[in-house]
Amino acid sequence: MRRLSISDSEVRNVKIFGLVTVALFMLCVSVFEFVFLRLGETLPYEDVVRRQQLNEELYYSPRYFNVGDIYKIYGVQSSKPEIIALGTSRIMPMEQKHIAGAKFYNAGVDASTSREIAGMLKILKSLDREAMPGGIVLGIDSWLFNPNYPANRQDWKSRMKSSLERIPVLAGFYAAYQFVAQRTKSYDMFIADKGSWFEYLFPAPQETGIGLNARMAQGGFRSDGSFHYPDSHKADNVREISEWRQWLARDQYRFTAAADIDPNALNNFKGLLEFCRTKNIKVVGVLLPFRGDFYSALTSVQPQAGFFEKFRKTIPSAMNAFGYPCYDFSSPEAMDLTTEDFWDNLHLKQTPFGKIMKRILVEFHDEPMINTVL
Amino acid sequence: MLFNTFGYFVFAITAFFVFLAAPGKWKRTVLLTASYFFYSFFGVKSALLLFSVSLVSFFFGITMRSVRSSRRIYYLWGAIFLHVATLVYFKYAEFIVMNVNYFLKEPLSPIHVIMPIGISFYIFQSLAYLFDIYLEKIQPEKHLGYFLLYLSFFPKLLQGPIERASQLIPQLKRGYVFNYNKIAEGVQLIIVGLVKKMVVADRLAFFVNEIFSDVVNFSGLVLVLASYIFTFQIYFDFSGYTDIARGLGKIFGIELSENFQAPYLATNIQEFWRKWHITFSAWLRDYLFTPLLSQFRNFGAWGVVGAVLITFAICGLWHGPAWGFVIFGLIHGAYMGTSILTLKKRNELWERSRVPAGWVRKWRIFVTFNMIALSFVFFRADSMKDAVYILTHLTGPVDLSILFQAYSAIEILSLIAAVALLAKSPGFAPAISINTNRGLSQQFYYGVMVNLLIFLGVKKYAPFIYFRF
Amino acid sequence: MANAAVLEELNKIFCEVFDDDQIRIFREMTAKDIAGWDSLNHINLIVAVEKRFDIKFTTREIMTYENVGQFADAVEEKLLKSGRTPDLIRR
Repeated sequence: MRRLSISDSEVRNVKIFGLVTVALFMLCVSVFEFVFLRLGETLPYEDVVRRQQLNEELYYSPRYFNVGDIYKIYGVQSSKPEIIALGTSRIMPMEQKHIAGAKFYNAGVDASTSREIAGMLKILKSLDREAMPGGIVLGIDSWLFNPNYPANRQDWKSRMKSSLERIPVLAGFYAAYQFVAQRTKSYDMFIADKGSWFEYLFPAPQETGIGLNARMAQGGFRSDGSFHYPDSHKADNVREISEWRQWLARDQYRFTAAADIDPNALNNFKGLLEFCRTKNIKVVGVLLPFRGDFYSALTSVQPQAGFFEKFRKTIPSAMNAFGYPCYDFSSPEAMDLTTEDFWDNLHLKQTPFGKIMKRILVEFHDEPMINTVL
Repeated sequence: MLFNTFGYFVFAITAFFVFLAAPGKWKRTVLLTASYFFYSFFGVKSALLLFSVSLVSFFFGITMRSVRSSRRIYYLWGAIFLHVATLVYFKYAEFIVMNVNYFLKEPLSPIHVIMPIGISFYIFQSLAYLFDIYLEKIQPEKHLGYFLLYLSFFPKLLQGPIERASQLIPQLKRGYVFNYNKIAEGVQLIIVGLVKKMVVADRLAFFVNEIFSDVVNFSGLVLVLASYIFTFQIYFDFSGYTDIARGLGKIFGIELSENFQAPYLATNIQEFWRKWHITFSAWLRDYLFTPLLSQFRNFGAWGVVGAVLITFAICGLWHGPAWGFVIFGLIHGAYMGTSILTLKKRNELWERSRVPAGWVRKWRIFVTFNMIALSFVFFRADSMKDAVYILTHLTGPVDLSILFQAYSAIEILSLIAAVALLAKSPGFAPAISINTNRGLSQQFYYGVMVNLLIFLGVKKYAPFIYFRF
Repeated sequence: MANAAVLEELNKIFCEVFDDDQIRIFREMTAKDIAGWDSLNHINLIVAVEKRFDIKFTTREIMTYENVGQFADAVEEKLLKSGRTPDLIRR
């Protein structure tokens, strides 16, 4: 190839341009990172847990980031509870106040980041021997066993992802890519955020929150891992059963149509139970209640209702085979729960949650003096 | 792949390096291959259609020249018919059937034709070529490869500019000489275009789309605001695209035509159309308006009005199969007709009025801009009903807080900063252009622009407005 | 080549159409050389020339002329065809 004629001064200009661009870029990134750090958005999970152990009033709720399972792993490691809760956001109301006489930590993780059953086993396997709990309250959701639930689908993307994670160098690249993608999204959310964040940049002496959502709304993860909805949170509007039926018929993500229990998920589930049995952990399963309007729709629309039936039969018997009890509280009538007891169609409020706990915690009667306070 | 996607970026860079590496004679083959490769991402059928149209045009061009002078007109009409039929079929057939069905007792079954991207542009470009041959302004291109490339050159393939054969073909034939300055200018233009599109136009779109998708729920002044903001959105969108196209062209050593010259600073409608979508309105002027006007020249003012209305009706219709576009065109036809017939008188009135010329100019810019914004309501509204609603509900409670509901403080600041910086971009206003400064300011300017792009560029998929034409 | 008489008449017409007595046309002159020479004034020119010389242009011809010189040549050619000599057009 012929030598391209570029003069020295032109090369210098390009270099200067490159330098200026990179310098400005680093400057902008530093500003973003500084703001995030001061707001508590990017405080490392380890430090979050430590601060929450020191000040139990401290909530943790970032606004521009999802809270991953690592946070809960640190939480369990640090508090060394006797009983933990595992599950999705639906198990998160369970808190220490529901149990007297035993240390509790809620290791439930948001459905969007949990990686389902495999994720629950991952949490357990990450724990040291001293941190391994003696009892688990396991919140089980139907979509965890739905083969068409996006996270369960074994398509080429998920297969590629899992094989990538096994090769060290590629896993490193993939992790870096994920980090950059997540940061980009966070920066975008921050730029577009119409709320005011400036006043929360420098917290008051009695800091009441790690993360912008925690500071703004006074809600988030407590020091025992449970989730506290802020006072400003509004309960979701109740809908007509017919509206829910239409909604379900449109194949909505967690309740998408499926013919049978996903065998892969069931295997993972049995693996989880097997792990607990070998570690002598007592597991109590619970199918959490739905709000009445949604429950009626879910159990009458096909094929969702058929799948849900199979789920209600299969999972408790799978648990019983391991000698573990499983409580089916899917129907709100079973526990006399009304519409006001729920935040939305899926999530029970904190106080009514105590009713469930009262029934379940008798299972741990081998443990010294477990009672419910609430 | 759109200009503002990562895939396109990879494609363009790869194409450039292959182009550089290829020996002289092969460079044009690289360009042609790259152009068709690029276009086939939008469907192999589209590429085939482009190829067919190119072939037809190529042969008509040569044939027209070789037959007797008196018979050429028949070949020209034949070619016009084929081109227009193709465009009408792919772009308007569905619309025509839909409208005809209103009047039929037994409606025809609705047809669905997918319009190949860019067809409106290359059909017009090909027609211009044939017209110029007929008028003996150019010789037909005898080399098929260059002719194919003339129509398919990928920087301008999707949304123009519409290039004249006398401008583009000689450049394609001229050997490529590596010129660092041209490449630097090209990259600068691309950066400016991307900022216009991703930082400004796409961000403005959020507000505009919110309001226009639900006009009845908003008060009068919000509708006015949305219309003004759309007027700016479409300018930044389309001129941004043109900058990117011209920047890419420069990198490959080709100068593509300008399409915009500060259009909203026009002092009357005639001037506006000399500064907006320049290659398109020049096409209309040279190949539609002038022949029409010369046919009607003995009908005086009526002849002028007739020629103007027909031309602008077609101008509007060209934008797409929707009555809103036709109305847009006719509004401009009415503007133009009135302007042509009254401009001289109005100039005289202003001169006699003793108002300082600077003020007159500002006033005229203001009036012209409002006329344009009004016409764009029909252009953008989702339906005729919506457009009429907007124009009949222009007054109402003032509630500008909606802007702060639509945008965060950072977004508003960045919009202002971006627009202020863009005013200094080369090509907008030479007096304040960044290129007239020496020293480090250029590097700093483009460093800031690139960072604006990275942090404030809207990253969701957002096709260019003129993409659907 | 158009003779001086034709060019002189054309110059008068240009001055009338563009309302500017200072205009001096030359063979290579094009639309770019006069402010306000747009498609409209282009046709006005044609119409004025047609009236003044009593000749007719086709649409195709109108679109073909690239500069004043070609135009003037065409005018002269049409005059000759119709049997009138350029000298005799002078009033």
